Amino acid sequence: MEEPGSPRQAAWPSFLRGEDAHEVYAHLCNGDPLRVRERAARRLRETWYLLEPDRVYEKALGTIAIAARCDDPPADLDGWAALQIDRTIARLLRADEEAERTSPGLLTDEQRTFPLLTESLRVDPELVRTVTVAFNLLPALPRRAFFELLIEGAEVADCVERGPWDHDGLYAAIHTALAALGFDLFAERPSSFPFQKQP
Amino acid sequence: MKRELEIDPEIRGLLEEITSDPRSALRLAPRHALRSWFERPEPARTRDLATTSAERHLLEAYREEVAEMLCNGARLAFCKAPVWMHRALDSHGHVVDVTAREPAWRKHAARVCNASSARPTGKDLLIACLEEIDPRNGFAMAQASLSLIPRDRTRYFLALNAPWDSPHLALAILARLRGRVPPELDLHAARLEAARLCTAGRLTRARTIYLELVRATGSSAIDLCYALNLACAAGEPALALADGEALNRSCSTSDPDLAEAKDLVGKWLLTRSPEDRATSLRNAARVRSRIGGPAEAFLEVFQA
Repeated sequence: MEEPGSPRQAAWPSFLRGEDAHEVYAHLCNGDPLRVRERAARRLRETWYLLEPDRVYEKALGTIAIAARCDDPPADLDGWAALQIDRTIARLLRADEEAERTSPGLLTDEQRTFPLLTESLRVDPELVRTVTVAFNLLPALPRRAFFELLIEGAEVADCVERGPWDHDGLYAAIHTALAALGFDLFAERPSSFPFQKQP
Repeated sequence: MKRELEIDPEIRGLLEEITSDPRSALRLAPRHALRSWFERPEPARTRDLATTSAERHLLEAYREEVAEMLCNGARLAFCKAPVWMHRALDSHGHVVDVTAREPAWRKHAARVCNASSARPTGKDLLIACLEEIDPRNGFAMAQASLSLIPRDRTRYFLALNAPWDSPHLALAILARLRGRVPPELDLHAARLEAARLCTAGRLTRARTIYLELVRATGSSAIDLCYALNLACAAGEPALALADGEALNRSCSTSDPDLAEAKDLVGKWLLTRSPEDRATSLRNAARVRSRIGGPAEAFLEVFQA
């Protein structure tokens, strides 16, 4: 019998157990018991990286299935799952950057599929990898501005109030983010300064 | 039904201005926030993932895992038989023993080997290292890792493990890496380049790199020691004196990095020709007679 207060031996939940990685993968696909899809989408919104959420989800399933065969069962399953999703995001960012550098213009179907860009913003699918790599290489603040204002739909005043920027700073950040995405070709500040300063 | 948030009118105005420019990649200014793309329900096709793309995703993830193990193995391989490397010291001045991580690496490598029946490039090499990492396998491990997953971090370990009798190979890899070295390896890559330049006989360029590191880090006793050594080797006592004075401003005689640098330079001097060694000793003696402190302590290595 386990003594009170003694650390519990961690064990893999049934859906992360199997004869091989294929079996674990199949468990993960069946109803998404680890909520990988939700975790991946949330993590992208928390880290402000522009990657297709379904792509991250599908890759994360592979990462998790292999990691479950290589790692000891973690005491903190949520933390372990988060780490695998972060690893997946980092791998995709690196792979896209490497591909953009070594094979410009040669995209896989997976790399040109990003409905957020191609349907909502009508970006040419052939430009998807180029613009997302440029965006994801930006410092955190411009990426955050894009996510808060365009993805989350925050109002400018609320966004400024939450900080860490003032109106000018937020404007500079969103301008930088849009420029990286190829959405801004202004040589100079546009004539209509978009944010009205608070009196 | 969840209400769709509208994008702030000021931002929408900005987007509309951009879309009006025919050169812009943005062809449509959305009215609503794009969050719904991150909140889509599970598509039916997800249920078919297990049979359709499972093989591909699993193989990709497995290649990543093997590549990472090989890259870390290449690092361990070099650390088991380091060549001209200033070893990192902990806060107590003790050498950080990277090779102590080998048992944990071997344990994880065994699991990675058993995790899949796939045989990607380098898996045989990984299996060969399960008993013990052979330092001679470092270059092959880095090569195999790179062929699985191209990464700048792996390119650094490839350069690190490149045969020391072909310095130009390492220098060519480092030249390709320039400007793209992962931040945590930045200093190491610069020092590796300087060490390889020394092996190639390009002492002046190597000294310039050490001095650039001194400037970049504010004040680095390690790099000043090596710059001072190379100034002596190049027959430049005035420059050596300047390096010595800078060294005296950057550390104390008890700095453990000083002892590590002395040890490394002592070994390096033994590889030099009698004429080259005589040049170093003569210039070091001239500087030593005019300087005290840490620089004098470092220059003791030239008396042996």
